[in-house]
Amino acid sequence: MAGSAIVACDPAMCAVLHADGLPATRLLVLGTATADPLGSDLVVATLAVRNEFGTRLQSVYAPVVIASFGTGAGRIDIRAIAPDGTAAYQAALAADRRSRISAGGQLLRNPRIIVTGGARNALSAGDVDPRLLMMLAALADQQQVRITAFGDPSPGASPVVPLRSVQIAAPGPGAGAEASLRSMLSLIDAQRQPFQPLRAAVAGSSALTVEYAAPSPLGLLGGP
Amino acid sequence: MKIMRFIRWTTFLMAAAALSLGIPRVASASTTSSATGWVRLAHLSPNTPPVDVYLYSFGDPSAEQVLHHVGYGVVSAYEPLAAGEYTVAMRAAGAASSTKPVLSATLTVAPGGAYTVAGLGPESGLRLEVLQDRLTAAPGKAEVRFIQASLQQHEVTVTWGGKPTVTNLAFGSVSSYQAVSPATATLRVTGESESANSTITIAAGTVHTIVVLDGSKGLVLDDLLDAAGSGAVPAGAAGTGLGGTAPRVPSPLPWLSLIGTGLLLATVGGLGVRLVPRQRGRHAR
Repeated sequence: MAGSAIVACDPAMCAVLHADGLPATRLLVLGTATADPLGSDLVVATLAVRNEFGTRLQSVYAPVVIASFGTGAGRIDIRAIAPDGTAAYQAALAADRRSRISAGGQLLRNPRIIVTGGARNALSAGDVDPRLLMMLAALADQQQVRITAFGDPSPGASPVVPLRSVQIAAPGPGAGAEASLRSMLSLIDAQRQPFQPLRAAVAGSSALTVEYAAPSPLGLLGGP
Repeated sequence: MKIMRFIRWTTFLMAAAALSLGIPRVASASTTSSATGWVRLAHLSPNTPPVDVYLYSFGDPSAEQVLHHVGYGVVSAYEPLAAGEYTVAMRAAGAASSTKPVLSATLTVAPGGAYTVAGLGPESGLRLEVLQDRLTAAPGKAEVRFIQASLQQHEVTVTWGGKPTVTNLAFGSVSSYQAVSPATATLRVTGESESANSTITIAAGTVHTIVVLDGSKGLVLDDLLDAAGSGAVPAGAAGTGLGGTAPRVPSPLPWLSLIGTGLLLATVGGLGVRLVPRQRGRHAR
């Protein structure tokens, strides 16, 4: 989860999140004193929250599920808040996808970026988080980048939610492989929000993984 | 705090790209294609230190640009850039080569589009803003907008030929373009405690951006010519030109050629600026 995100939740869930270390200043407790989750970035849609807001949760406040856990009554959805309404949010999502398609297509033409099949499809379809796209352009300025996969660490996310992680393979065998990956990692580690990833690590000498926090920001890229 | 300052540098610098003070320079329209846009950078954050700025092309590593040591008041000439997406990154001017550039923004260059990437606001709230520049004016008219980059005067009011043009323009903000009648007249900028006058000629068909800056002896006005011509976008057609983007300095390194020529440089105090087209392996990373 993004480091500054405000989370709306029912009292019980907020207590759990607070106990897990989320500061109270980042919690918006839903209940009698708070009529709606507007003002937060994410809402934890437990059964209590779903019952409280009904269909308005999806149709008015938070149309997109960015992660989902469990099933049935115990299911918990993490939804992104649409601060300006569902229509505006959906329009922003569509515009952002168009920008990601354009940017991804440009990265695919970059001779310093080598992309395998599945990852190629993700780039061309606009499925990749804009922060990753920007980072890949910068990394490719330094050296060749071999992308093996994009992924979404969030289970149950809506198909419109961008993939927030990438796996980068070493450019080749040999002693320089790990050094190459660590050079990329050092550039990534130097970044600040919103470009500072949630996690980034080199696994052995073969791969670098980078994961950004949810939700993916909208409007980071310019329009095509 | 050092981290925050560096981030702010990044942001503000972004404007970095090219800089030169107010003298719109110009890349030759004849050397550009329809897939080319125009970009200039501006460092307009008075209390933010100089930075180096990098533009990383998403699709073409050879299209990268790097601009070194961009200081306050520096506005580059327009530079042609291949249309496409760019990651803008910065690092403190003079930072060790081992220092990694910090990503700060994206810039989408559309064919024929013109943009100013400006670092605005105070160092504590530095932001990088991509301004869409206008290249055409209505027949018989000119277009003018204002950037308020004076930290000493939190708000300014602008009159042109004695008529109020912009009122209470806050520090770090940019007005919209507005059509004005061509004239040679006095531009007066008035803040809370200072004012400045400048006689400026605005010709029909031209597009200007007037930047209000803090100088060593008070407010300084920098008249940037965004476009001066028939209004045709710089698509390579002969004779139309981009006005301010049209080549006035026949140099392959136009930004560089502007160094030392800007009013701001003289006023603000001799900032060393150089902009060089990116040459792989020749600059520190």
